Amino acid sequence: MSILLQGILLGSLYALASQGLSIVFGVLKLVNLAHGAILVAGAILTSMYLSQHGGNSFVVIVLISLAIGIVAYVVQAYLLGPIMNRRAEATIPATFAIAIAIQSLLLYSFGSDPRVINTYFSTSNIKFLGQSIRISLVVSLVLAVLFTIAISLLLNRTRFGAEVQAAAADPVAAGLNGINVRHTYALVFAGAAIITSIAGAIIDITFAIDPTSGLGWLVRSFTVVVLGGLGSIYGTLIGGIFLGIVEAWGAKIFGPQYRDLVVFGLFVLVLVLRPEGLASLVGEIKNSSWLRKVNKNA
Amino acid sequence: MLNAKIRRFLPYLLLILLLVVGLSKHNSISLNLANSASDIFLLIALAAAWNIVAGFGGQFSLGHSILIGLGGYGTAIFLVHSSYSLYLDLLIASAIAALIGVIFAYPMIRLRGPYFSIGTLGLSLATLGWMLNWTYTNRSQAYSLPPEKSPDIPTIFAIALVIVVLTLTASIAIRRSSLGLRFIALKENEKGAVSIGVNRTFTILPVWAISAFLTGLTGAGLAVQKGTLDPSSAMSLQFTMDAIVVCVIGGLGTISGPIVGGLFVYELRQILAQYDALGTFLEAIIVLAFLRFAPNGIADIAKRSYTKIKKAGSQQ
Repeated sequence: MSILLQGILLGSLYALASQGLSIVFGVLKLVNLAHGAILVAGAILTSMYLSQHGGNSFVVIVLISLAIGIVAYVVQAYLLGPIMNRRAEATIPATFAIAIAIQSLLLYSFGSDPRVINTYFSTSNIKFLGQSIRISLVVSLVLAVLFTIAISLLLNRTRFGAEVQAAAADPVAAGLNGINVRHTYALVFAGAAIITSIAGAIIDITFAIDPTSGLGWLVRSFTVVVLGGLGSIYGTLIGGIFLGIVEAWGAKIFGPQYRDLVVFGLFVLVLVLRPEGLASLVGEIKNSSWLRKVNKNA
Repeated sequence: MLNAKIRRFLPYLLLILLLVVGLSKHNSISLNLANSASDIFLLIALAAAWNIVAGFGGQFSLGHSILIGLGGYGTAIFLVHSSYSLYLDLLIASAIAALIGVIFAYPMIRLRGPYFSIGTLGLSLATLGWMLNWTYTNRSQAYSLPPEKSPDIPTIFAIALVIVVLTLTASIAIRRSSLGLRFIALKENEKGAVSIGVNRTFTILPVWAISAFLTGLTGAGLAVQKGTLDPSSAMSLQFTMDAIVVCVIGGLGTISGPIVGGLFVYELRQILAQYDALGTFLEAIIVLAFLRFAPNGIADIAKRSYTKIKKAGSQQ
């Protein structure tokens, strides 16, 4: 029971971390290898600012993520966008180079020490079902669910969401209908960067993050996105929680030093066996013949 | 006719010439020169081996760093536990890297484009996770090559020279062979290539085996040069980054790209070394600038300006 609970809470962190990667992939068809570096940048910039200047942690988290979002807008509009248009596969070295650039800049500015954000609830716990739980993890669970609902509403219920979906489905036709695709893509990329850096800061309350953590978080996030079905918003939430539970179990069975191996092993396995994601299994079971027969008989 | 034949074999002749001159002089050049030449050779070999799958076939592997590590660890393990000569150890270690490379590639090649890249990245992190906990190779601690069996600097120079010549020869041979043409055809138009009878698996795996062998050999060379290994630095993603940087700057998918890029990047790093981490940042920015403004690298810029000059000359 305690492992299941631990897994769900850990998984909410993963879901939070992966939402940005999922959106960028779903809309721009771009695998952003700099995703982990953006997350780390959000975490480290926030913790450095808070430790040097203080202030309300939530205000600082939001302001820093907005600043990262502005940079991300410029990067997508003037650097990645043109590269994407010319040769789609060139985005792999490009986003990898961006990841390395962010990582080395952080290393240069703040050194290689792991950082943690200290807030008033950092170390406090609450009791739930006889288990003591860190409040920071509860915050992340709430945020993960809220973000998922908010993104889904934004994409499905607003005019901007309709424009984004149109640009994702067919950029050329969307452009002909008066949607500024470049601007829309850059906004989506910036929005994803904002969510990702907020996620980074929330994670940094619970786990220490150092400038080189980015690639690990990238693969973790990608595992979540693949588990949930590429580009699916609710799938990402489910995938995150699933991964959290598997990791908690794996750490219990094999020992905590094999955590990474369990996660990355699961990732390789899923990618090879079911690249379309676990979410598609649900649809497949629904459509499978025996179930239809059952439904007909009922 | 004769002209065409000479032109065809000219690259091989140049490589053989380089090999012969280098091997005959390897004892008489200064240690400084031998050191930096070994660095350059291994950098070029790494990039050229990666270029075979990534440049020719469009398979952006982010897992070549583990092949480097496998070559290195393989050599070290055989040097410690067996009485074979160093050169046999190098070959065995590379063969192991080739075998494991193929085993890893077999499930991965079902994935296309970015999925393939991320898949290989996941594999390399999983392997690193394993190596950090494997007691046989001292876990995350350093694993040293026996010093009495480690070669001196001129010998390392000779080994690096053989490795780079071998890698470049293999690149040219693959580029011209029917295997290589099928491999390139799969990148350009997979459906078209398969429909005229190209077997995807049996085209990609042999090329992967060659690339993995050469990468393992480069890793073995690097291990011999460094003398000690630990998982985080022997399998560091920096190697993958090196290959990408060199190929993008030199010209991805070309023969001359890794050579030109390797020399350029080596010189660049000499200049940037004084800035520490900021140097890596500037290097990444330079790569991005190339991707944005000159996606085909220095080799292409040189070629285009050459044709421009030639055109201007003929118009006068």
